[in-house]
Amino acid sequence: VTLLAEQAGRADALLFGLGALALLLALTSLLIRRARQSRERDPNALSRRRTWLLRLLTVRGRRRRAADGLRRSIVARRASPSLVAGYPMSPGRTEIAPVDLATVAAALLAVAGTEVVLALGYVLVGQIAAAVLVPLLLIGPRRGDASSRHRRERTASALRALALVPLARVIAIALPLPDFSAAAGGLIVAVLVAIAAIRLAPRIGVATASLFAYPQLLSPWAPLAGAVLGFAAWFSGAPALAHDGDAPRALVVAAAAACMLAVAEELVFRGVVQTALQRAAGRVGVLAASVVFPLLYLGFESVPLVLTMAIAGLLFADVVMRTGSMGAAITGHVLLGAGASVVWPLVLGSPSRFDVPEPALDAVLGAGVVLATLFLLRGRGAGLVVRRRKPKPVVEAEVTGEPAGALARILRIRNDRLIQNSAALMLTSTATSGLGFIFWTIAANRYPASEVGRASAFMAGANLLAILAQLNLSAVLIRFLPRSGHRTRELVQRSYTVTVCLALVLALAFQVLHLGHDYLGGSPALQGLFVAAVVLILVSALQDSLLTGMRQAPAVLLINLVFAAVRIVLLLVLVFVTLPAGAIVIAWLTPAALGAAAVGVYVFRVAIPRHATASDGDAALPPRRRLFSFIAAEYAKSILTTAAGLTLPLIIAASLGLAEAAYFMFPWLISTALGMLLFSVSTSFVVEAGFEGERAGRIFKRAMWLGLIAVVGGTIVQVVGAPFVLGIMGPDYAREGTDLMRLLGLALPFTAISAIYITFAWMEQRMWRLVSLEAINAVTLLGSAPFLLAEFGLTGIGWAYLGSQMIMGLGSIIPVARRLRSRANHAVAWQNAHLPAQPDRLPAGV
Amino acid sequence: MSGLVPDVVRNAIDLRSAYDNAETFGLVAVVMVLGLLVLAEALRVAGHDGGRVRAINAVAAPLLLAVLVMIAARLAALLP
Repeated sequence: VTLLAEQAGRADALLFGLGALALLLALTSLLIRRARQSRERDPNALSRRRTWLLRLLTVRGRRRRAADGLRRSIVARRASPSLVAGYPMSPGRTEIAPVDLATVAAALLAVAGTEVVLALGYVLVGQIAAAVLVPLLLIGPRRGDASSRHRRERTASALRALALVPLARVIAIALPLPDFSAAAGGLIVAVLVAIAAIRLAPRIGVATASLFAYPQLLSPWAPLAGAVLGFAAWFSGAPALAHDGDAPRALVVAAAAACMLAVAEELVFRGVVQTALQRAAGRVGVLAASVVFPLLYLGFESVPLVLTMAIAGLLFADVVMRTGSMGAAITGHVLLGAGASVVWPLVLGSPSRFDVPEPALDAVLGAGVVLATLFLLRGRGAGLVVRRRKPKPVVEAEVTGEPAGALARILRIRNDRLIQNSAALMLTSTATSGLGFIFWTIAANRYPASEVGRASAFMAGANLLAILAQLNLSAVLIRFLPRSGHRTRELVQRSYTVTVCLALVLALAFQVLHLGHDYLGGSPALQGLFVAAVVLILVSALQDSLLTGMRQAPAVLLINLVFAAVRIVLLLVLVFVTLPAGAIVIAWLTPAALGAAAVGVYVFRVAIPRHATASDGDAALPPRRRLFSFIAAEYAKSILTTAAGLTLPLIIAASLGLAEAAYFMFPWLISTALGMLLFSVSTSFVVEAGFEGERAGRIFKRAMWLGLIAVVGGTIVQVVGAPFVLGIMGPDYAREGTDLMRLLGLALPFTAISAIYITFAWMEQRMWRLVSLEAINAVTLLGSAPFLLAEFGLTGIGWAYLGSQMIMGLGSIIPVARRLRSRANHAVAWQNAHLPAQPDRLPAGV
Repeated sequence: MSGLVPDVVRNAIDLRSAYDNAETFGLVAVVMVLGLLVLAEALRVAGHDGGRVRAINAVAAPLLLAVLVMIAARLAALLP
């Protein structure tokens, strides 16, 4: 210490000296305890010592220790008939334990006072106060007589939980934050505070396992609220952890810090403080914990931010209270933190450019706080409890001799047609999109932007006509093929004939009216290619639907993969051989032509006879009138979807030029692909629930989780990865398309909500509702796009799309919520409403 | 953005020199760790219930880690 004092100064010497003393004392303490255990010859001492490191270092160890504590607690209190997780509780309601409310209230005031002192700028005074408060709260109330023991324990638990707040302050202030970036410093603080919460939780009766319990009740509200409040927090002036132009490593650290800080705050406030206070004072205790939470944000000197966090605290508290799990609240807080600190600052920069009067903002957020408080006070629930592990069911496989456990699950998945087909549909969407992305990336790197723009407009035009011509019979075939029996061939042939004829008529009319003149350029070869393209795209889509409807989705995956790969190879070959006009289109269409021929032969020679044989020749198609109504609604929906989606590239090509159309196409392609991922989940759920009606509820739950993964992943890819992904295609693409892609990514969560509603409408066969929903989308998007395009360029399209998806998503919230609440009833209704496989359960008239 | 490290704390730390921070904020934390460890031992010797001791130990561990981070950061600054 003396040497250090001479060499480096007394501050470092003091720090090193006292630090060494602290470590020495901790070590001595451990040694004393070990020696005492040995002296007492505790037979279990050795095993406990062995697991000490494991318990300290691994979550599993901590969980085991929590489980040990729980077991002891249960043994000690077995006399209580309403025992849940070692605490006297009844389902759905917290039984408030006797507690010294005056002491708890005084502690709350002391904690709040410390926060106020800090917020006023007296940081050292605040830290000293916090440091004094921590041991006082940990020691807890004085010992009383035997009759008040229960009261003292509950009071001590509440005080210990509150001790976490000043402890977090001491840690955060003491760390050498200037040596780190804001993100890295925050990350370290978050990890240490989370460790403190996890270690203290069992000491106040909250088992560590319950902090990380899997959410038993799906609650989409907390993530949704988190996403919305993240925007509000950014708007309220929350400091950013990431900035435009930061290095990728800095962005990763910022994202990790934002997420970890959110997790730490949830563990402290909802996991420990709220649980302890709820046991002490019921809903009032939850409210008190929710009041302490926003006090932490006083130090930002922003009233709107404090109000925003107050709303977040109240909503998350309600979710934890109702669901008894931290999962949804942690997810919501992570979305909030990541949105406010990373996503929105990267996408939109500083909120200062939006000139909103602060009093108005305060009034809106204040009203939100009042509403959230009322919402919380109306809520019911026992809060965070330890859910006992369900006893392992006797697996049938064990009886029949099949292997149990993970292997059995894998085998069951391999034999489960439901999962096979669902996975195949999803993989088809993902893989074809990915390979399509590679195709267009190669094209962008090898061909001039005008040629890429021409090809994209060409394909968009052909797609538009193909979709118009197919009358959305793809969806109809998926729905009715399982019951078409001996009429399968007739149904398929008629579908082919009608749609191909219509495609030819539309393609010729398109050219006669000179609608594609910008990218067809009067070239007879390109015009001929255009007609062929419309027919081929149409036939390919019909064939995919045919195979899907006959439960051969893996074949769809295989075919699409092969042809997508061939497309890429052909494009590369054409690049090296020559660069003719329309080479990209040729590379795209040639495999489609070969594929259509090969699959056509397979469908008519093999698949249809096999399908007719498998269904014993019975045909149970609906009456013609109902069928036409279904087709009409589907067609109207598809036209509106197409108009909303595929018209945009044409508008851009016409108003900004072909190069701009190319810059637009990549973000749009990626966004559409990610959106299709969501609808693949939806479609696979609808198809499989049709075949497996009894399992509709379980399939729905799995589909929701798959959809959630797709949304979170897709949004992160688009928002965070935009410059990197587009940079692959060249700096011009990254410069022009990054903002657009981020806005499209931010629309994905809203798309997900409307996708859920669409799924419900499909299941309930209320097709005309979908038509009205799509009409709103089309009108909003196409109505606003030209104006925003003229004002903001390509980014304006992103704003238009975000706006239309927000309207759709927010408009779908109420019907979706209503249906989610009565999901069990709907499962029965879906089961009865579906056509295939169960003739005795068909609705009347089908 | 997190309430754990608000602007007012960050600004107060940034405005002081490293030595000043060590002599004030760092010192408070180290003294607190020492106090907690001494308190835990005192309670154990006095035969108080294990709940208090375990709670103090649970809190002392992350504080000790924080002190280690502080020492490591200062060591890194001292080393050439």
